[in-house]
Parts: sequence; structure tokens; C-alpha cells
Amino acid sequence: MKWIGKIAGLPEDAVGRIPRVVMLGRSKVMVYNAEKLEKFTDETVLIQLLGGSLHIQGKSLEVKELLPAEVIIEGAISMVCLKEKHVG
Amino acid sequence: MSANFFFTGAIVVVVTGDEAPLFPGRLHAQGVVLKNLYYSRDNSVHFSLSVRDVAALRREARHFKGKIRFEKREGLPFFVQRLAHYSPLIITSACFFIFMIVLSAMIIRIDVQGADQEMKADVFAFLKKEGIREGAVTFEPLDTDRLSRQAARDIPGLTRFTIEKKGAVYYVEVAAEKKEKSPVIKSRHMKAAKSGVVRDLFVEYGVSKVRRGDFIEAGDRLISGSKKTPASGTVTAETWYKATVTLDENGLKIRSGEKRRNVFFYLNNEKYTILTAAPFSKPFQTEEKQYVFHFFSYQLPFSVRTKTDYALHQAEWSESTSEQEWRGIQSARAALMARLPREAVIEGENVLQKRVENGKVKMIIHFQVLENIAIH
Repeated sequence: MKWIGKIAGLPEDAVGRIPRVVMLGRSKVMVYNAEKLEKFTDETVLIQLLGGSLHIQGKSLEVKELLPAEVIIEGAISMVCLKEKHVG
Repeated sequence: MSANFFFTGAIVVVVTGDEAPLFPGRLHAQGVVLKNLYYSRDNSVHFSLSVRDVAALRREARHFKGKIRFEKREGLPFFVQRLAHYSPLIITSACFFIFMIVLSAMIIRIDVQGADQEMKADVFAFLKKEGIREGAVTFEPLDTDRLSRQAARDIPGLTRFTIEKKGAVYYVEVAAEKKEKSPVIKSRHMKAAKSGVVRDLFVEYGVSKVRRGDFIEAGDRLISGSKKTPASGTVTAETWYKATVTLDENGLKIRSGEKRRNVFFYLNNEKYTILTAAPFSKPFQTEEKQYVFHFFSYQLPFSVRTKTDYALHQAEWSESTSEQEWRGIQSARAALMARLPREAVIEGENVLQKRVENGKVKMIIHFQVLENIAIH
């Protein structure tokens, strides 16, 4: 899949299910191509991605929208951390 | 892409229990769209989801150890449901408003001031002809200028006519021509106002100088009285009138029945077109009407205006001579009736002359009229 996109000159995230994370200031995080919302409380959100997982920490976090391939999180965000999946 | 639950209807769900933070994720894995998730301190998660996904929620709830409860219903379907619940109230209040608007448009009373009994009857008859009578419902605004002009033309002996609308009551003020005062008699004899043949005599005081069947010239003495008792009475005579009528033979255009209506809705002088029609290419007549609505005496800020075009076409039939004659006589008769005093009777008519001049028919008609000719 990747090489098709390269030949066509498309950005990488337009092809296949490569996750994309967009941060708007410190109040909003949009995650595209999220696999699963693992855990959700007002202080930590754990999102499973294709090749790892995304940890978001903050205060009074809310998930504004939870669509099949898109998660929009709002709140006072203090940390966003992408972890690689443990192999094995 | 944004999820909108308004049309499908949404349910706000509260999930409590130890596994509550994991529950939205499980639903998400099923492909359910969630919105407005937030977490409360007591390990509960609130979120809203579409009504369509309730089945998925139930399926997931079977393997869930905590509690799930529906908190609120939102969106159009639930709103409609609530509306249906209150429908009797809504329908009743709508009916009340319509009823009040209709009642406000009703003419409850007509006050006529400044008229004697006879004039009053005339005024009421005139108003009835114009569609203004007690109990009538009219949404068209009062055209006072046109009415007073029409009244001056239609009601004999009327000099001033003002009509005013106050709520549901119409106030009409009229002034009549001053009648000659009867006590001041200029002459003690009565003479003829017009020439004619005497048909009937009624002498109240005095001595009659004529008999039935006599031909009288204008100015002849009819009844002589004395100084003490001036003559009084009526002398009914057959008098004659000549009228000339001109009829447009070819100019008769009639409505073909085809009409095109434009409807406009006015809200605060802002014009909204509801219905438009292309104007006729053939000759047409236009009628404009306005409808205003009142709630009690308060005029509502909207009105409806219609403009209807009626197509005209040339009358296709050719009038026969007798039909033409009849039409001429009728129009002359109506004109004469308006001029004659009330008691006068048109006894007969004869067409003296009829000729056609470049498409127009000119008729001279002779009328025999019975009327009182005795004056002081």
C-alpha cells in the first residue's frame, strides 16, 4: 500500500490506516484512524493505534466525539505520549 | 465528519461500575458512534448515543458488570413525542387564536349618526350592498374614500358620509341635505312643477282647480287655498322624460373565466411572494385585494394581498336588436330612477329613435312616469 501512495505522490496518511494525531493548542486532540478507545477517565485516555498506543493525560478530559475512525478529545491536556507496541 | 443525533434521536447513558472507563471503548469496537463522553469521580461515564445503536448497547451490556441507565432522551423523535403529548393544548390554543382573529374581523355593530329614519335605512342598505352588515366577517381593510364617494353617488340627499372603524364597531356619520321647512309656505296655492296629465288628486286643504285627465302645463295652478289655510295635497300626474343612451356595440368585452392569481405575504412591510403567475398576453382586468388580520383591536403585523388577472375576450355573440334595445332601456331606466323622487313610478317606455353610428348605437327613449307634481 505504501509504495502505491509514494508513486501517486499522496501524503502518507491518506493511504491505508496510518494513524494521524492533530493537536490544537492544549485543549484539543484529534486522533484519526484510531483502532480502539482502550480506557477513558477524566485524567487519562488510552487509545489503541495500529502500531502502538496513545496516552493522553490531563484534567477534566472529555471525548467530544467517538466515531469509527476518529476520536476528538477536549480538556486541559498536560501530556500526549505515543508508545510503541511491545512485541511478544 | 461530525455525528449529528438530532434527527435520529439520542439517549444520554450513564454507566457506573469498576469497568465503566472501559465500556465506551467496547462500544466503539462494535462500530457505535458516541458523543460527549465525560467521566465523573464516582467511576461513572456519561455519553450520548443514537437510538439506532441501542441494540448494540444492550448486547454489550450483557457482559458488563456495572450498572447502565438511560438518563435523558433528546432529539427530534422524542420532541415530536412530547409535542404529541401536549397536542390537545397546542390545538386548543391554535383554535383559540384563529377564533379570536375571525371574531375580531367580525362587524359587531354599525352606528349611524346624523341621519333620520329614512336616511338610516338608505345608509344601511348601501352598506349592506358594500358588504358591511352586522355579523359579516371581513378581512379587507376599509376603503373610506371610495365608500364615501360611492355613498354620495348612491344615497339620494346625502352630502357628507364618513365611516370609521374602531375595533369591531363601525361608526358612520352622515349629513343630509337640509329639507325645505314645510311651515314656511311661500304661496297659499299649489302649482305644477312639470307638465303632464293628471291621474290622481288628493286635496288636503283648498279647492282643486283641475280634474283627472286634464293636461297641465308647468306653472299651472292645481289647488288654490286661502290665506288661513294654505293649499296642501298631492297631484299625481303622468309626466314624460326623454333619455338618450349610447351603447358601444363592439366594445363589449367579457371575462373568459381564465384567471391568474398572484399571492403575496407581507410581514412588517417585507414582501414575500407565495404565488406568481405570468401576466396575460391578451387584454386582462386586474383585481387587487388585501386581507389584514386583527387580534382584538391590535392589527397583526402580517397581511395577505392577492392580485388576480382576469383574461378578457371579445363577446362572441352578436346581440339581437331586441337584446340591444333591452340593454339600452335598462341602463336609461337605472339612470332615470336615480334622478326621480322615491315615490315616482316609471310606467312605461318607448324607443323613439335608434340609429347606428360607427359601431355605436344611439337610442332616444321616452319614459312615462307617475309622480307628484304639486308644489307651492
